Amino acid sequence: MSGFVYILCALTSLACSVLLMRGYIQNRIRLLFWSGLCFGCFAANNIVLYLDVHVIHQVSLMLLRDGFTLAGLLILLFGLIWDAN
Amino acid sequence: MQYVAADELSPTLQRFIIDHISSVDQLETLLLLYRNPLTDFTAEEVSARLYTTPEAARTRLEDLRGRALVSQVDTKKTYRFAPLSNEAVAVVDALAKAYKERPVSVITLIYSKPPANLQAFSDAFRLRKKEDK
Amino acid sequence: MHEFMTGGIVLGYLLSSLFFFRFWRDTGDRLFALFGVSFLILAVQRTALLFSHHNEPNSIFYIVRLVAFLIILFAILDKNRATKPAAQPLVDRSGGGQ
Repeated sequence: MSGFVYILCALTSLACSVLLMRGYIQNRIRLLFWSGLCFGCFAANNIVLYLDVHVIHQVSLMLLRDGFTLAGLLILLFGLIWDAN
Repeated sequence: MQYVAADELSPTLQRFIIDHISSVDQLETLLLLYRNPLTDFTAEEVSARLYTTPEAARTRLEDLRGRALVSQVDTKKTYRFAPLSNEAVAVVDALAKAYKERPVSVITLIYSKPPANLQAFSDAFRLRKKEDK
Repeated sequence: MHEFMTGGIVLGYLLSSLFFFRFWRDTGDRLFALFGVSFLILAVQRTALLFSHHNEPNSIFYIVRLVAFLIILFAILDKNRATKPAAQPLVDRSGGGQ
């Protein structure tokens, strides 16, 4: 059950990322680039979370999971503060 | 909706302004061409009439051309008022009238729009893009 | 290290949520409110996770995560539903290019 949830969250994040990046390619507004990257990191976080829980048992991927989430949020905040004018 | 002073303008006109008019300069450019429908203007002529730089005038004209309100005669680099539908002509008629009779309402509506960045963020999530963005 | 990152993550979610709510205030666009709520939920979930000493795959925590992401999904669907009436182009785009 949790596996399904993580995949769904990964797909949702990926959808957001793709939509935002498509918007950036079309109109070059940088806020879309940063937020697109953020959701890309969220997608990565959810994928790693899925792997951590269901696939890879020898090693804990917790730092990698947190790393992706934190990176995504820092990128998003940078974009919101720097480029959202 | 939080758009200010919009009640005095018809919904169609409000929507047109929200979707297509981003500044008073652009409005003035559009109305200049509208009032002289048989004239081809260069960017320099527009800039002289509106007391702005030719580059700014060209940007405005190109933007209006992208919105299919103005067309360009390529060989001569001139522009003329040329909307593609009767509805568009009607709404520009209404816009000209409203700007003459209720300029404050029109200007307030133009400048109460949300910043372009946020609009773009929100619009990015539209799966089918609005044709006029 | 994990607590440090969790602290940063919670703060990141909270700040982002605040930005989104402010954008909602500025634009009246419901999408921003929904993103704000979603990020707020993620902040709360993260905090609760830390204090409970559990790992994520415990049911209550990942269901809360699911709710947050379903809200985002709903925001996207809502955005696409609501545009229909207002999307009457008054002006035909020749060529339709960007």
